[in-house]
Amino acid sequence: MPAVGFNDLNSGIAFSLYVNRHFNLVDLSLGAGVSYYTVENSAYTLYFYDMDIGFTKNNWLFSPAIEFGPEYTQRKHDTGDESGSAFYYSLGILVNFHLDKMRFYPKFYYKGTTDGQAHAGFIGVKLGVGYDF
Amino acid sequence: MISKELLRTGIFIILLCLGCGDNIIQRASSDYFKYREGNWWQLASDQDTILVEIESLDTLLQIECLPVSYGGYTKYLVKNPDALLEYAKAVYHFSGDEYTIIESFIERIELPLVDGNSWQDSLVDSMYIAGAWITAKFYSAGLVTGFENVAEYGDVYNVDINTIEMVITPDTIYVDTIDVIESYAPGIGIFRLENDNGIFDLIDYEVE
Repeated sequence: MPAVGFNDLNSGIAFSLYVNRHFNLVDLSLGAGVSYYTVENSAYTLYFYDMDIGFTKNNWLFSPAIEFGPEYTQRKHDTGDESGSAFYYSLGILVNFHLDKMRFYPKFYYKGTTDGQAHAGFIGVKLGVGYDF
Repeated sequence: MISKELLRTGIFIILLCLGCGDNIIQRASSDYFKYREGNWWQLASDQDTILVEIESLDTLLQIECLPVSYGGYTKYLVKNPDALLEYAKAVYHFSGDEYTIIESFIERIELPLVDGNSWQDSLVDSMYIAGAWITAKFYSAGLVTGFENVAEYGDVYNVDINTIEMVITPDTIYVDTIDVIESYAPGIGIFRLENDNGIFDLIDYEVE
Protein backbone atom coordinates (compact mmCIF):
# COMPACT_ATOMS: atom_id res chain seq x y z
CA MET A 1 0.00 0.00 0.00
CA PRO A 2 1.81 3.15 -1.12
CA ALA A 3 1.19 6.14 1.14
CA VAL A 4 -0.26 9.42 -0.09
CA GLY A 5 0.36 12.58 1.92
CA PHE A 6 2.37 10.93 4.69
CA ASN A 7 5.76 12.51 5.12
CA ASP A 8 8.53 9.88 4.96
CA LEU A 9 6.08 6.96 4.92
CA ASN A 10 6.62 4.47 2.16
CA SER A 11 4.34 1.45 2.14
CA GLY A 12 2.71 -1.16 4.31
CA ILE A 13 0.38 -4.14 4.48
CA ALA A 14 -3.27 -4.47 5.46
CA PHE A 15 -5.46 -7.33 6.64
CA SER A 16 -9.24 -7.28 7.14
CA LEU A 17 -12.07 -9.63 8.09
CA TYR A 18 -15.65 -9.05 6.99
CA VAL A 19 -19.12 -10.42 7.68
CA ASN A 20 -21.34 -9.79 4.68
CA ARG A 21 -25.14 -9.77 4.37
CA HIS A 22 -26.92 -9.66 1.03
CA PHE A 23 -29.87 -7.27 0.64
CA ASN A 24 -31.90 -6.48 -2.45
CA LEU A 25 -30.03 -3.34 -3.35
CA VAL A 26 -26.60 -3.81 -1.85
CA ASP A 27 -24.37 -6.13 0.12
CA LEU A 28 -23.74 -4.73 3.55
CA SER A 29 -20.60 -5.73 5.41
CA LEU A 30 -19.21 -5.19 8.87
CA GLY A 31 -15.47 -5.48 9.13
CA ALA A 32 -12.39 -5.05 11.24
CA GLY A 33 -8.85 -4.63 10.03
CA VAL A 34 -5.29 -3.79 10.82
CA SER A 35 -2.66 -2.16 8.66
CA TYR A 36 1.01 -1.64 9.37
CA TYR A 37 3.56 0.76 7.89
CA THR A 38 7.24 1.44 8.23
CA VAL A 39 9.64 4.13 7.15
CA GLU A 40 13.34 3.91 6.39
CA ASN A 41 13.95 4.21 10.12
CA SER A 42 13.15 0.65 11.17
CA ALA A 43 12.66 1.74 14.78
CA TYR A 44 9.47 3.58 13.77
CA THR A 45 6.16 1.81 13.22
CA LEU A 46 2.68 3.01 12.45
CA TYR A 47 -0.41 0.85 13.02
CA PHE A 48 -4.03 1.47 12.10
CA TYR A 49 -6.80 -0.61 13.66
CA ASP A 50 -10.18 -0.01 12.10
CA MET A 51 -13.84 -1.06 12.21
CA ASP A 52 -16.05 -0.33 9.29
CA ILE A 53 -19.38 -0.54 7.54
CA GLY A 54 -19.08 -1.37 3.88
CA PHE A 55 -21.30 -1.39 0.83
CA THR A 56 -20.69 -3.49 -2.27
CA LYS A 57 -22.69 -5.25 -4.97
CA ASN A 58 -21.29 -8.75 -4.97
CA ASN A 59 -23.41 -10.18 -7.78
CA TRP A 60 -21.87 -7.71 -10.21
CA LEU A 61 -18.57 -8.56 -11.88
CA PHE A 62 -17.24 -5.07 -11.21
CA SER A 63 -18.60 -3.65 -8.01
CA PRO A 64 -17.98 -0.32 -6.36
CA ALA A 65 -16.82 -0.68 -2.78
CA ILE A 66 -17.42 1.93 -0.11
CA GLU A 67 -16.31 1.62 3.51
CA PHE A 68 -16.07 3.98 6.43
CA GLY A 69 -15.62 3.82 10.15
CA PRO A 70 -13.53 4.72 13.16
CA GLU A 71 -9.84 4.03 13.29
CA TYR A 72 -7.41 3.70 16.18
CA THR A 73 -3.89 4.81 15.28
CA GLN A 74 -0.71 3.94 17.10
CA ARG A 75 2.79 5.33 16.44
CA LYS A 76 5.90 3.91 18.07
CA HIS A 77 9.48 5.05 17.91
CA ASP A 78 11.94 3.42 20.31
CA THR A 79 10.94 4.79 23.72
CA GLY A 80 8.18 6.97 22.28
CA ASP A 81 4.57 5.98 21.86
CA GLU A 82 1.48 7.87 20.71
CA SER A 83 -2.05 6.84 19.94
CA GLY A 84 -5.28 8.46 18.88
CA SER A 85 -8.45 8.03 16.92
CA ALA A 86 -9.37 9.06 13.42
CA PHE A 87 -12.10 8.56 10.86
CA TYR A 88 -11.40 6.62 7.73
CA TYR A 89 -13.14 5.99 4.45
CA SER A 90 -12.33 3.79 1.52
CA LEU A 91 -13.44 4.08 -2.07
CA GLY A 92 -12.61 1.41 -4.57
CA ILE A 93 -13.65 -1.20 -7.03
CA LEU A 94 -13.60 -4.96 -6.70
CA VAL A 95 -13.84 -7.68 -9.29
CA ASN A 96 -16.02 -10.63 -8.23
CA PHE A 97 -15.23 -14.17 -9.39
CA HIS A 98 -17.72 -16.79 -8.15
CA LEU A 99 -16.92 -20.47 -7.83
CA ASP A 100 -19.75 -22.44 -6.20
CA LYS A 101 -20.07 -20.87 -2.78
CA MET A 102 -16.66 -19.30 -2.93
CA ARG A 103 -16.02 -15.76 -4.07
CA PHE A 104 -12.61 -14.37 -4.99
CA TYR A 105 -12.28 -10.66 -5.37
CA PRO A 106 -9.25 -8.50 -5.97
CA LYS A 107 -9.98 -5.03 -4.70
CA PHE A 108 -8.37 -1.78 -5.78
CA TYR A 109 -9.01 1.13 -3.50
CA TYR A 110 -8.01 4.41 -1.97
CA LYS A 111 -8.16 4.65 1.80
CA GLY A 112 -8.31 8.14 3.26
CA THR A 113 -7.90 8.91 6.93
CA THR A 114 -8.51 12.16 8.75
CA ASP A 115 -8.51 13.54 12.26
CA GLY A 116 -10.32 16.71 11.31
CA GLN A 117 -7.01 18.62 11.08
CA ALA A 118 -5.12 16.72 8.40
CA HIS A 119 -5.88 14.19 5.73
CA ALA A 120 -3.69 11.48 4.27
CA GLY A 121 -4.22 8.11 2.70
CA PHE A 122 -3.04 5.04 0.92
CA ILE A 123 -3.55 3.44 -2.45
CA GLY A 124 -4.03 -0.27 -1.96
CA VAL A 125 -4.75 -3.64 -3.46
CA LYS A 126 -6.39 -6.40 -1.46
CA LEU A 127 -6.99 -9.98 -2.43
CA GLY A 128 -10.28 -11.18 -0.94
CA VAL A 129 -11.80 -14.60 -0.40
CA GLY A 130 -15.45 -15.03 0.59
CA TYR A 131 -17.70 -17.98 1.40
CA ASP A 132 -21.52 -18.04 1.30
CA PHE A 133 -22.98 -19.84 4.30
CA MET B 1 -38.91 1.01 19.30
CA ILE B 2 -36.07 2.46 17.33
CA SER B 3 -36.54 2.35 13.60
CA LYS B 4 -33.80 0.86 11.44
CA GLU B 5 -33.21 4.17 9.74
CA LEU B 6 -32.70 5.94 13.03
CA LEU B 7 -30.37 3.19 14.21
CA ARG B 8 -28.26 3.52 11.07
CA THR B 9 -28.08 7.27 11.44
CA GLY B 10 -27.06 6.87 15.07
CA ILE B 11 -24.31 4.41 14.23
CA PHE B 12 -23.02 6.75 11.54
CA ILE B 13 -22.92 9.72 13.93
CA ILE B 14 -21.15 7.67 16.62
CA LEU B 15 -18.56 6.56 14.10
CA LEU B 16 -17.95 10.14 12.99
CA CYS B 17 -17.59 11.33 16.59
CA LEU B 18 -15.19 8.53 17.43
CA GLY B 19 -13.12 9.44 14.43
CA CYS B 20 -12.37 13.04 15.30
CA GLY B 21 -10.76 12.71 18.71
CA ASP B 22 -7.34 14.25 18.24
CA ASN B 23 -4.68 15.21 15.72
CA ILE B 24 -2.86 11.91 15.38
CA ILE B 25 -3.02 11.98 11.57
CA GLN B 26 -1.62 15.48 11.48
CA ARG B 27 1.31 14.43 13.66
CA ALA B 28 1.89 11.26 11.64
CA SER B 29 1.70 12.87 8.22
CA SER B 30 3.23 16.34 8.58
CA ASP B 31 6.71 17.56 7.81
CA TYR B 32 7.98 19.29 10.95
CA PHE B 33 11.31 20.28 9.40
CA LYS B 34 10.80 22.50 6.38
CA TYR B 35 14.49 22.71 5.61
CA ARG B 36 14.65 24.09 2.10
CA GLU B 37 16.94 26.75 0.76
CA GLY B 38 15.48 30.22 1.25
CA ASN B 39 13.08 29.31 4.04
CA TRP B 40 13.28 31.54 7.11
CA TRP B 41 11.68 31.99 10.49
CA GLN B 42 11.83 35.10 12.66
CA LEU B 43 11.54 34.54 16.38
CA ALA B 44 11.40 37.11 19.14
CA SER B 45 11.92 37.17 22.89
CA ASP B 46 11.12 40.05 25.25
CA GLN B 47 14.43 41.69 24.44
CA ASP B 48 15.77 40.34 21.18
CA THR B 49 14.93 38.77 17.84
CA ILE B 50 16.63 35.97 15.97
CA LEU B 51 16.40 35.04 12.31
CA VAL B 52 16.69 31.36 11.46
CA GLU B 53 17.45 31.04 7.77
CA ILE B 54 18.32 28.22 5.39
CA GLU B 55 21.25 29.25 3.24
CA SER B 56 22.54 27.82 -0.04
CA LEU B 57 23.41 24.14 -0.09
CA ASP B 58 26.96 23.28 0.87
CA THR B 59 29.01 20.08 0.79
CA LEU B 60 30.98 18.88 3.80
CA LEU B 61 32.75 15.52 3.99
CA GLN B 62 31.23 14.78 0.57
CA ILE B 63 27.72 15.08 2.03
CA GLU B 64 25.27 17.73 0.91
CA CYS B 65 24.37 19.91 3.90
CA LEU B 66 21.89 22.62 4.65
CA PRO B 67 23.56 25.57 6.35
CA VAL B 68 21.07 26.87 8.91
CA SER B 69 21.89 30.31 10.24
CA TYR B 70 20.72 30.99 13.79
CA GLY B 71 21.14 34.76 13.91
CA GLY B 72 24.46 34.56 12.08
CA TYR B 73 25.74 31.41 13.79
CA THR B 74 25.62 28.65 11.19
CA LYS B 75 24.94 24.99 11.83
CA TYR B 76 25.33 22.50 9.02
CA LEU B 77 22.48 20.01 9.03
CA VAL B 78 21.65 16.92 7.04
CA LYS B 79 18.06 15.70 6.99
CA ASN B 80 17.86 11.93 6.63
CA PRO B 81 14.66 9.88 6.88
CA ASP B 82 15.69 8.64 10.32
CA ALA B 83 17.51 11.63 11.79
CA LEU B 84 18.55 15.22 11.55
CA LEU B 85 22.35 15.22 11.67
CA GLU B 86 24.61 18.09 12.63
CA TYR B 87 28.16 18.68 11.44
CA ALA B 88 30.60 18.51 14.34
CA LYS B 89 34.24 19.54 14.30
CA ALA B 90 36.67 19.65 17.21
CA VAL B 91 40.02 21.36 16.72
CA TYR B 92 43.08 21.81 18.93
CA HIS B 93 45.42 24.76 18.53
CA PHE B 94 49.09 24.26 19.31
CA SER B 95 52.09 26.39 18.38
CA GLY B 96 50.12 28.31 15.80
CA ASP B 97 48.85 25.16 14.07
CA GLU B 98 45.29 23.85 14.00
CA TYR B 99 44.74 20.10 14.43
CA THR B 100 41.36 18.62 13.59
CA ILE B 101 40.65 15.81 16.05
CA ILE B 102 37.03 15.11 15.12
CA GLU B 103 35.16 15.98 11.96
CA SER B 104 31.93 14.11 11.39
CA PHE B 105 28.14 14.26 11.75
CA ILE B 106 26.30 13.66 15.00
CA GLU B 107 22.62 12.92 15.48
CA ARG B 108 20.76 16.01 16.60
CA ILE B 109 17.11 14.90 16.37
CA GLU B 110 15.80 11.41 15.68
CA LEU B 111 12.98 11.29 13.14
CA PRO B 112 10.03 11.01 12.95
CA LEU B 113 9.08 12.89 16.10
CA VAL B 114 7.08 10.79 18.55
CA ASP B 115 6.18 11.82 22.08
CA GLY B 116 8.57 10.29 24.63
CA ASN B 117 11.24 9.19 22.18
CA SER B 118 14.79 9.76 23.35
CA TRP B 119 18.16 9.27 21.68
CA GLN B 120 21.83 9.83 22.18
CA ASP B 121 24.90 9.84 20.01
CA SER B 122 28.60 10.41 20.57
CA LEU B 123 31.85 10.97 18.71
CA VAL B 124 35.20 10.30 20.36
CA ASP B 125 38.68 10.43 18.90
CA SER B 126 42.26 11.17 19.94
CA MET B 127 45.35 12.52 18.25
CA TYR B 128 49.00 12.42 19.32
CA ILE B 129 50.24 16.00 19.17
CA ALA B 130 53.67 17.19 20.34
CA GLY B 131 54.21 14.25 22.68
CA ALA B 132 50.76 14.19 24.22
CA TRP B 133 47.42 12.55 23.51
CA ILE B 134 44.66 15.06 22.87
CA THR B 135 41.13 13.65 23.05
CA ALA B 136 37.95 15.24 21.76
CA LYS B 137 34.42 14.12 22.56
CA PHE B 138 31.01 15.14 21.34
CA TYR B 139 27.86 14.00 23.12
CA SER B 140 24.36 14.66 21.93
CA ALA B 141 21.19 13.62 23.71
CA GLY B 142 17.59 14.48 22.99
CA LEU B 143 14.08 13.84 24.19
CA VAL B 144 10.69 14.63 22.71
CA THR B 145 9.07 15.96 25.88
CA GLY B 146 5.60 16.18 24.40
CA PHE B 147 3.32 18.12 22.13
CA GLU B 148 0.82 20.88 22.64
CA ASN B 149 -2.01 22.09 20.48
CA VAL B 150 -1.48 25.67 19.36
CA ALA B 151 -4.58 27.10 17.74
CA GLU B 152 -2.99 28.60 14.64
CA TYR B 153 -0.38 25.94 14.06
CA GLY B 154 -1.71 22.56 15.18
CA ASP B 155 0.17 20.05 17.34
CA VAL B 156 3.61 21.46 18.17
CA TYR B 157 6.34 19.10 19.38
CA ASN B 158 8.79 20.15 22.10
CA VAL B 159 12.29 18.70 21.85
CA ASP B 160 15.03 18.97 24.50
CA ILE B 161 18.52 18.85 23.01
CA ASN B 162 21.67 18.66 25.06
CA THR B 163 25.11 18.75 23.43
CA ILE B 164 28.50 18.58 25.11
CA GLU B 165 31.83 19.22 23.40
CA MET B 166 35.01 18.31 25.28
CA VAL B 167 38.68 18.65 24.41
CA ILE B 168 40.93 16.88 26.90
CA THR B 169 44.64 17.67 27.09
CA PRO B 170 47.07 16.26 29.68
CA ASP B 171 46.59 19.27 31.94
CA THR B 172 43.27 20.84 30.90
CA ILE B 173 39.71 19.87 30.00
CA TYR B 174 37.72 22.30 27.87
CA VAL B 175 33.97 21.74 28.08
CA ASP B 176 31.22 23.48 26.15
CA THR B 177 27.66 22.53 27.05
CA ILE B 178 24.59 23.69 25.17
CA ASP B 179 21.03 23.02 26.32
CA VAL B 180 18.17 24.10 24.10
CA ILE B 181 14.48 23.39 23.87
CA GLU B 182 13.17 23.62 20.33
CA SER B 183 9.53 23.43 19.31
CA TYR B 184 8.40 22.45 15.83
CA ALA B 185 5.05 23.08 14.17
CA PRO B 186 3.58 20.89 11.40
CA GLY B 187 4.21 22.20 7.91
CA ILE B 188 6.06 25.21 9.29
CA GLY B 189 9.20 24.23 11.15
CA ILE B 190 10.74 25.88 14.17
CA PHE B 191 8.12 27.53 16.34
CA ARG B 192 9.91 28.25 19.60
CA LEU B 193 13.54 28.30 20.70
CA GLU B 194 14.59 28.35 24.33
CA ASN B 195 18.29 28.77 25.18
CA ASP B 196 20.53 30.73 27.54
CA ASN B 197 19.47 33.98 25.89
CA GLY B 198 15.77 33.52 26.57
CA ILE B 199 12.62 32.14 25.01
CA PHE B 200 12.06 33.07 21.39
CA ASP B 201 8.62 32.66 19.81
CA LEU B 202 7.78 32.64 16.13
CA ILE B 203 6.53 35.98 14.85
CA ASP B 204 6.95 35.57 11.09
CA TYR B 205 8.09 32.95 8.62
CA GLU B 206 8.30 31.98 4.99
CA VAL B 207 8.45 28.33 3.96
CA GLU B 208 7.96 26.51 0.70
